Amino acid sequence: MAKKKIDLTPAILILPAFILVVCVIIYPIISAVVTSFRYYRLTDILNTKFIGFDNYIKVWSDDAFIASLPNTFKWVAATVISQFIIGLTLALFLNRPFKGRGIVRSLSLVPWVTPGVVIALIWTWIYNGNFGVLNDILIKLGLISAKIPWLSNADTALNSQIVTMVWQGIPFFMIMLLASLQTVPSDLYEAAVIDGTSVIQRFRYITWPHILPTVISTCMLRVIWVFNNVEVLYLMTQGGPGYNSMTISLNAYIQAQKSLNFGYGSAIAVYGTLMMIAFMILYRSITKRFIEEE
Amino acid sequence: MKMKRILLIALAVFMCTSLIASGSSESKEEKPTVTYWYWEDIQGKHVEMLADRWKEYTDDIELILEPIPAGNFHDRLITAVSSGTAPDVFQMYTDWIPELVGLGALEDLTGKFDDWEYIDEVPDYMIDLAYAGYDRMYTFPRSVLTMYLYCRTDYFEEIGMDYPKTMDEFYEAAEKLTRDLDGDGVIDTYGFGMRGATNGHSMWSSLVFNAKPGFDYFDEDGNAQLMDPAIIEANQKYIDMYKNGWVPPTAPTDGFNEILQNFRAGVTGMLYHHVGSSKTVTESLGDNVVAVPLPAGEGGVFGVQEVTNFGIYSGSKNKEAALIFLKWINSPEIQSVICEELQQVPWLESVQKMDKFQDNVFFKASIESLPDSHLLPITTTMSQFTNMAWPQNFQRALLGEITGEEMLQNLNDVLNGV
Amino acid sequence: MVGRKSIAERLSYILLILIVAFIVIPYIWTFITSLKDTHELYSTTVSYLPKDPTLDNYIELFTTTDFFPAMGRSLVIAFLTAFIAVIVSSLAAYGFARYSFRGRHVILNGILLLYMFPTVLYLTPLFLVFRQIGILGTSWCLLISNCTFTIPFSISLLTTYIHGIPKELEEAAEIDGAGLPQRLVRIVFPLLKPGVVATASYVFISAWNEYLFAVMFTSSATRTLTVSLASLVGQYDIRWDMISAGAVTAIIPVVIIFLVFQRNLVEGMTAGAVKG
Repeated sequence: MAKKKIDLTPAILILPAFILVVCVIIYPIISAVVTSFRYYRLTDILNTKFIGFDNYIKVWSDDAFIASLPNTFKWVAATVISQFIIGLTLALFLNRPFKGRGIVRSLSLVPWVTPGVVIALIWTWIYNGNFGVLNDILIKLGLISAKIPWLSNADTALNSQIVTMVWQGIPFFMIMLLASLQTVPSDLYEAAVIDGTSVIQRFRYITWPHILPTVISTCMLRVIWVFNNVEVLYLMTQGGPGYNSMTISLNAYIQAQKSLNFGYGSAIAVYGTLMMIAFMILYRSITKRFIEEE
Repeated sequence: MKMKRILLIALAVFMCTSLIASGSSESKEEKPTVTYWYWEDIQGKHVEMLADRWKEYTDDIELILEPIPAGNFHDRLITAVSSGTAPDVFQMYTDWIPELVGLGALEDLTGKFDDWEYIDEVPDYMIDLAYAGYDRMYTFPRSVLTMYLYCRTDYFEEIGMDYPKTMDEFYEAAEKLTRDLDGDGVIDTYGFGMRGATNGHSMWSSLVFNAKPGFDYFDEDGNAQLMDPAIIEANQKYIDMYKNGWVPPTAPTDGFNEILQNFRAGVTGMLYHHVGSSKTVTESLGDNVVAVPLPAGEGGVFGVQEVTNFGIYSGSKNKEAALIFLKWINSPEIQSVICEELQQVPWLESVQKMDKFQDNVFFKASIESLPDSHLLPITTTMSQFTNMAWPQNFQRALLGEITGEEMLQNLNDVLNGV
Repeated sequence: MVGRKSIAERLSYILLILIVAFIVIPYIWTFITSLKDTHELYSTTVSYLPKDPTLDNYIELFTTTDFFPAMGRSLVIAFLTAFIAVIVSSLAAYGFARYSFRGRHVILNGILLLYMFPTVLYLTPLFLVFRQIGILGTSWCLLISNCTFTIPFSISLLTTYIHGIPKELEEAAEIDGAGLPQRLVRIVFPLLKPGVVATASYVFISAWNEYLFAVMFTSSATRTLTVSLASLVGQYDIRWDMISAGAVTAIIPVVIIFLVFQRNLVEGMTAGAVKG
């Protein structure tokens, strides 16, 4: 099809998606980036003015933003890594036949179809410091002696929410990895079993190289989603206590949607985006080497 | 495979019907409509009741009731105003007045109620609330709630103390009510339900600002004055309640729902709130609960009012109709029903005198304390203070991440718009 | 599998049970909570079996709130979003997969780049866009925004699938005189079915779970399930019992759909995974 004339067919095919993306994503992004250079508060809209990089500079003297940097890293890294490990384990199990496999597979999809709002609410109730079931179970098992206020303690608030987010993300990893596992040709395993290799060796030399591309792309998607997630954090602790569970996206959300300080909130979000892009470039160059080695 | 097909057909039918159903509700009449935004409580009956009564009252104006989740009300309203899509009438807190006035969103209601048949029944302090320090009246009162202390009668008997009248007694009670009842080394009851999440500042100011006579957030020149030595000391005592373990360890993130649940379940012995929770509390605790006035500090009692108002949107096309609605919803008949249903303090004199409010100790206590309680300040910096600065700084002070003094300094800066 | 079980295998089953318990217990607990009355709910001694199980919470939820209408709207929006997003994205994906033109890679990468912008950034500008075109407060806002935000991932998923469909089939059809629309309908779409199922599921779930747009763009008459459930966190009360009842009921329709399509879902993902 290379050199005929100019073929307009692909343009026509892509056009609907293109129009939607431009109107609903690109235009708002540009408009938000422009806003990030302005003093723009909905509560004080008559004083809207261009202020250059002021918002971007102000960010660095904002305690909430400073606190959100390590929190964001922990939130994303701990969540995605745990989701991946549990999701992979589950997928490995579900890839072999056993009694009740269908049920387990169906059950483990449930968190995925549960809206984030509902997830935040049911887990808040589980973590409740006075009536929550988690404390009760742990006390009955003798693991703790007094009730722990999970969402009110500086050192447990973020971790508790990470557990919630892990729970939510297991199914997506599971299904992506399971799909990938099912494409590993079974004769490879059979040959390896005959050669007398161990389970670990088979995983290392057959399974892992095969699923690696899926692992890499799924992790990347999850990193983006977890990074951008605000509803779970907002509904569970609003970033508290203090700033102990504040992340970059949540801070941007609270500033823009709750304090209605849209210029400042946009500036934070732009920082977040830049960090994300930097991370992705790094991630891609590292993972590329990984794949080549395998 | 059949199953799938059936399911698909069922879904298709369902979708079509629901689309048709949603499209058929357009009305053809030309009569004026009034859209009313209110924050949503679970009390759906209140809305149905209002709608029915309105239909009985008049057929000429169509009323559209629009419930908005309480947690999103402020941002939804401001966003709607700045995009020109605000409702004709809406509920609002008094401290939103400066923002809304700044946006030019509030219709000037000065003089609009002069011909109202019940205007003589409105107490002066309610008119003051309606003006909220401005020289024009931009809002009309909806409800006013005054804070008091709920105490567990049985718990106080057990510790052999009277209900606290002073701050010293309050802290003493908090300490004594913190008990390990069954001797297993785990605390079973705590003294007080401290609210560390959003809106906990009203409780905080009641129990801290009473340390100095005549103290309030701002001095006469409008500068925040939280860095007062007496306040710094009182603030530290308040924070120490958490450090001493006299309040539940969940205090930093406890909101109103949590402190209410704790009090209902007997986890705490004292609860700071208003008549709005009296029904729930008595339902759970029966005669074991009593309402007493707030404890006094060196500077007397610092009572706090929670005031909600009605505003009419300046861009509304149906201002006249909206005004008729406001006059109707504040009429004695409707006010008495709303106050009873939603547990709010009536403020029209004839309604206050009704037996159902005079015979109820909780209502009576509220009505009596109405004239002397404070309104939290109304400035443009207040919503930033309420929604973010106060909870974040207070929580950090509780957790020991900053000192009480640093907390007050940060809050002072926010209030002064630094 | 061999009949004899080694210790390692037993241990691995314990691990499986732990994982499944982690996934399931929150839901079981939610279900138990939904059967309790308020008094039992706020009792300091946690009860694991409701002493006096009641369906009152469900009845109250169904009769006094807009739970069912909101769930209906959520389902309709999720279905329509999936339908539209799949069509729009598969056309685009076909364009990307089958034609080579200048800037193809730039656009493909650019689309993925869009993912990195936090949703927070769009909310207010999008709100203003919707107001400008006069659809604010209607379900159209959600349809359009949900659809668009799932398009980038859908395109990248579907492009992979289309690469997996042999070109030869189409070329044969083209020789027989079939135009592009016919080829798409007769050859590409049928072969694309697993990919469509996977993509549609992804879009459906994203739209079903969506909250931030819904809470901003809808009115009380058009609000979705997530907003309706979140509004149970009231100003003066938070109804954990009703929220639990809502959480239990809310997943039923989606679970049914997924039980039916589950196999296709994994198959669909598998087909996509071949190319990785």
